[in-house]
Amino acid sequence: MDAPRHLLSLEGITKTYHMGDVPFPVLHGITLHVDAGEFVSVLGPSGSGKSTLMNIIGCLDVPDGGTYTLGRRAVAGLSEREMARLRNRDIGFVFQSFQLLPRLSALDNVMLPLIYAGVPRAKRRERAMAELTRVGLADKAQNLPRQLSGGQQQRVAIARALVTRPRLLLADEPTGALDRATGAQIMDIFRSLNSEGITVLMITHDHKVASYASRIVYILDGRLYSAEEYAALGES
Amino acid sequence: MLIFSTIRMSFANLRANAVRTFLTMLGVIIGISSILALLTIGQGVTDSVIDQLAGLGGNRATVAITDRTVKPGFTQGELSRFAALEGVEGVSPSLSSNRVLTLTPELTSSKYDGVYTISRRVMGVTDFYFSTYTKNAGMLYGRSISSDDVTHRTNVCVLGYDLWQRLYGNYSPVGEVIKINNTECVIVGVMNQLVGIDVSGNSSVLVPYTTAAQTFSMGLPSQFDVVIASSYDTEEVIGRVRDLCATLLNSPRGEGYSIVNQEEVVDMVVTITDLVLGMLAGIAVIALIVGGIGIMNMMLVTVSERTAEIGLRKALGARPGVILLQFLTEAVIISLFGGLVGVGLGVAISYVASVLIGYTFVFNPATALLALLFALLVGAVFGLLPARRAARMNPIEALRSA
Repeated sequence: MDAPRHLLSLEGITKTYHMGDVPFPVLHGITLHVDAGEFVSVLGPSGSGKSTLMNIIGCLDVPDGGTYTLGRRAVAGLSEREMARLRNRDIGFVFQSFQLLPRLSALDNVMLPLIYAGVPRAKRRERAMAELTRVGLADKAQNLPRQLSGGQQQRVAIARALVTRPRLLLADEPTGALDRATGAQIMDIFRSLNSEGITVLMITHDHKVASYASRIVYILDGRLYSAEEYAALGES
Repeated sequence: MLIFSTIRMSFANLRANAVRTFLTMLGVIIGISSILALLTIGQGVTDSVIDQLAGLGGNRATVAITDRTVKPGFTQGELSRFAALEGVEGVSPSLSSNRVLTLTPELTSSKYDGVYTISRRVMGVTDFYFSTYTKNAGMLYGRSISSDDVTHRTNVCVLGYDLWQRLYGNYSPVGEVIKINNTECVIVGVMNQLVGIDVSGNSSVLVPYTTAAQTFSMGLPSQFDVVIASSYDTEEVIGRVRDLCATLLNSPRGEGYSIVNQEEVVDMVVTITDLVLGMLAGIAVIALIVGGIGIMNMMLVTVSERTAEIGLRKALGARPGVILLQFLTEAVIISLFGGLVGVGLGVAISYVASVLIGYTFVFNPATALLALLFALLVGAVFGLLPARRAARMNPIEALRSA
């Protein structure tokens, strides 16, 4: 088995939601391997199951079947505490709607994950400041989110995602709430972070945005396709 | 370290909803301050009652004829026999009834022009009354009623403080004469103001009880107080009093008279005070519980308002226990601050009450601490349900609510 080579391995992941007694199968056996240092886009329309996949990868949800390995750890069967620890240490989230806490300054927002990691206050400030500098917002550290533009807010969110030095940066429609020019700036940041060696997994419905990645996989009706498979699907 | 961050975040959240936080706190403030005030006032009043009764020196019992057909009252000779019993310090018969006082310019110089009449209580007492009951207050002017006055049934009187102020205002009327039911009585003294439980003397005219009995036709006294020397056993002395009663009333089975021990009265007063205050404190506890429900209500609102925040915090790696701690901390901060303000307010209320009612104010730190702990407990208990709801929230659904 060569599984340990991959940073992230999904094998035959299935997930079914239940609306009352009616089952709604969302994922039908997803298999995906992402290596350290890759920049992968998962491209699919709404209702394709991409958000569910993102939740499972982000350890916010558990699959019904299949195996998920992050680093060398099997995620299935972990307790809620251990899942929280994985989210804190190994995964950095970037959301479509930024999800900054409105009453905290940019710096405090970036420091938040470090509180849960048990990092001392002085060290938290130092590391959060370094990340804000990295996304070019050192001068906005004391601003509240509403005093920042959408693009700046998303950069704060990226700094927050990076501050615990995770193995994986997980982005869910990171440009969805931004105009095209600002969205392009954000994508440039992802690309430059990737060139520094950070693994990025991005979920989007936008071809242009997806094309910033080094590899695109397609999701349709709960099944995952490589670029070649997807092209073949279109011909048939 | 995590706890400091949590407390800091809690303060920030509570400040952001200052009005709501204050209103919620108000429930705890009212509950805690009323509990503390009632406990403190109750303790103060009980202490004062006991102090005042003890301050009279020795224990007392009240002997009363309950059936005046058996015997209309006690004669002077019979009272002397009671006074002579071993362990009895003295007896104080009491007679009192309203009589008309007349002040005429020829006999006395009052505050009023012409003839002035007023109806006031006339109390028939002994020299012993002054040496025990009013000895703390003492005389403002002149002398008290002597044993000679009692024996010789003289027409003398002593004015209570309030009555003196009403009639004369600011100077000594000693030696002047007022008429009680048209009988001229020489004013021999004015009492200082009495404080404490029995202050009826302040607005009365005091005369020798023999004078009251005969001259003012109040009849023989049917009841009197026995003061028991503190070196004697109360029950034993009361036994002797009872034996003498049985002989005098010719009632070996104890019918027709009653003997009430002052200790029993004190016990009763304390029991009733405790009962009333206990009931009020019970109501105050209910108020505090309602305050607790207020906290729970506010925290439930807060949790549902901050669903997205909870989801985000969970996504960033907050364990369920950390989320629980955060919301529990907010509830406890509300109740603890409410408790602190409540303790302050309660102490202030009981201080004002002590001034108004007239007992000595005592602050008991243990009671305050207990009240504070109680407030803390209320916050923790009523904060638990909302905090658990937050901790158990599904992060995906919570994030989606944004």
